[in-house]
Amino acid sequence: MSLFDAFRTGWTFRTSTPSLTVGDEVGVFIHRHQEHAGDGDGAATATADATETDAEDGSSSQGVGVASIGDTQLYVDGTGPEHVDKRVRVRITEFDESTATGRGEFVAVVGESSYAG
Amino acid sequence: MINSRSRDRTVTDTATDGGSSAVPDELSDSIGGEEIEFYGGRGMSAVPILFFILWAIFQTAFLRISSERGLVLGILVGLIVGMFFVKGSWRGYASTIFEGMTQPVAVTAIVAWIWAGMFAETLQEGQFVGGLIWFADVTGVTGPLVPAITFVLAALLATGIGTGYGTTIAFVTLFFPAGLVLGANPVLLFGAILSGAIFGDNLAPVSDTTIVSAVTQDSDIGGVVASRFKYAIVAAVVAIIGYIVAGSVMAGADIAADASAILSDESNPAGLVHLLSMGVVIVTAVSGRHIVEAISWGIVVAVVANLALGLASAGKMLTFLAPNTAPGAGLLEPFPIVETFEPGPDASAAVTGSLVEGAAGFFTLSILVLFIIAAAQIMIRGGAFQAVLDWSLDSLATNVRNAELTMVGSAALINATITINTAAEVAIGPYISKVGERFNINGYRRANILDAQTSALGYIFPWSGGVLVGFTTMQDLPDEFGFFTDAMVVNPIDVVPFVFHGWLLVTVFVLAAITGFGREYTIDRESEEVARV
Repeated sequence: MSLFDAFRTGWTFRTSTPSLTVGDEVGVFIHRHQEHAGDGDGAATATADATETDAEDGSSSQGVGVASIGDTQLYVDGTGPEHVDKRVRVRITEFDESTATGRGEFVAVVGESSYAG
Repeated sequence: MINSRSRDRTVTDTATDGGSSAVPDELSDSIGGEEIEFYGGRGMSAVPILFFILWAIFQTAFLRISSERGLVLGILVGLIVGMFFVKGSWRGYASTIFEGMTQPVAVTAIVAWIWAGMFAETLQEGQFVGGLIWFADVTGVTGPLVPAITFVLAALLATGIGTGYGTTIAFVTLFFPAGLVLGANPVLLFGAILSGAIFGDNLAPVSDTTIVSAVTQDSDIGGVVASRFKYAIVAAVVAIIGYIVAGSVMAGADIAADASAILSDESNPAGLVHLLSMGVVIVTAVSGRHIVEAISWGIVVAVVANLALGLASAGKMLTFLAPNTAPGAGLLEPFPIVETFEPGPDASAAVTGSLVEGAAGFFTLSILVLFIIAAAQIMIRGGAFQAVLDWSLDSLATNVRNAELTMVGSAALINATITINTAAEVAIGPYISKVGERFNINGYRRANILDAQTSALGYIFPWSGGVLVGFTTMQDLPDEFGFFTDAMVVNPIDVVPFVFHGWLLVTVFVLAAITGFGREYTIDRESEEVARV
């Protein structure tokens, strides 16, 4: 980013419900793990791949990670309770503009919360 | 878990919450990492930090003692008091103190402060203030425009040296009496000086609060400075207009004296060369260089400018003051940075100069921040932090707009309460971080929300550190200037509404939270490079 761009960035009014683009990879903090992902919130069951990954990790095979990007909700398949408060890279697979709700696949952990508890 | 953050790593394994598995057993005991149980519930883990806040209010607000050493004792006693509420062995509690003190956030802030201190002191030694005085003198500004130009020049100085307190002292000593002679209203003029101090405290890459805001929110300092420019400049433009308007309607003091005579002794146009030193640090940091590298370049430019233009001798920046009986005294005395003295009861050996004094100026604050972070870690391990966070997220920060308003409000409240704003900023930093992360608000935005309230509220109220520093300095003016009467000393309560930039900065962030102005999420842009900091 150039010096000029560094000062120029952010001179906008950003929505509280940002859109996500299918196919993009984004970095987000997971703030909650939701068990029984099929119940409510429109979240579906975890994928088979995620279940295998979970089994290797010894973590839960049920549920999804939930990230709030502003007031947009993103459900992340392939994550377990251990990913809460972690910054993860997620590949977006679905996004519904009308409800500001999306789904994505876990790619990797890329960082942690500033203050681990 | 110890927060060993290597931000750019890509790991697919998942450390468990205990996390200490990565640490050899023989070391784990010394770094904590376990939950601590308290008599009276998890809320009692907040005792050390609450004790410190009460101590800070008692010491700074009620007794008006702005001593960082006193605050160090406050946090130490708080940590001891908190230990008595621990269930079972105190070993884990003691270990958690070490765990907190070894957090990267504390060490990063300390390193940056010390570098910034050397730079700032060298700029002041190099007559940067003299350059600004010369500029003010030649512009020939009088009457209604004096508060506005004072605000701009104070903002420039504070952005260069990063210390609002230093700016306040320098401007109250010189610009304040001169400004009164030029027809400015005393209260308005004091407000303009404090506003300038706020501007620099908020924006300068070498400001202690800027550094704390960046490192507590996992952001690089250069990126933070660039991203907060938009808020600072919006508030500053309105503040300038405010000072022009208020300056034209508020009557000035009627004094028969010569302003140029007051300023001429200190005036030195060559001091303006330090705009270059300041620019080097800002441009280098914003360009993405490490803050230590950026400030080091600034120090090099400042030292060379001081020597080349005769602004400060080598000895003013570094002097080894040694007894003439020292083995190397005779040999080294010809060097400009070595002085000798006859040993005696009133003489003592020392290393002095702007580089030493600038670094040493942050030593006490460095110790203080280590213990505040330790107390915050106790609160995290004991669960009180999570309890406060849960309550906030359930009751206050229910959506991103409310979350940002909560961040603004909480940062403003603690900074309005504790006189030494850097200490307040360190204490509230983890909370701001967690609330912001919950909504994936990026590190720059979080740092900007935090620092705007910290800078602004530290210079508005009668018990604020900046106001106290200015008020104390002002009380010496009647002894120095014949025309300056005690009636011209501004009562701290009177200046509260006239610190325009402070109030505007808070207002800008309230509006920014409501409208989304400047808001950035982690999906828009992540803090440039945390590991670098």
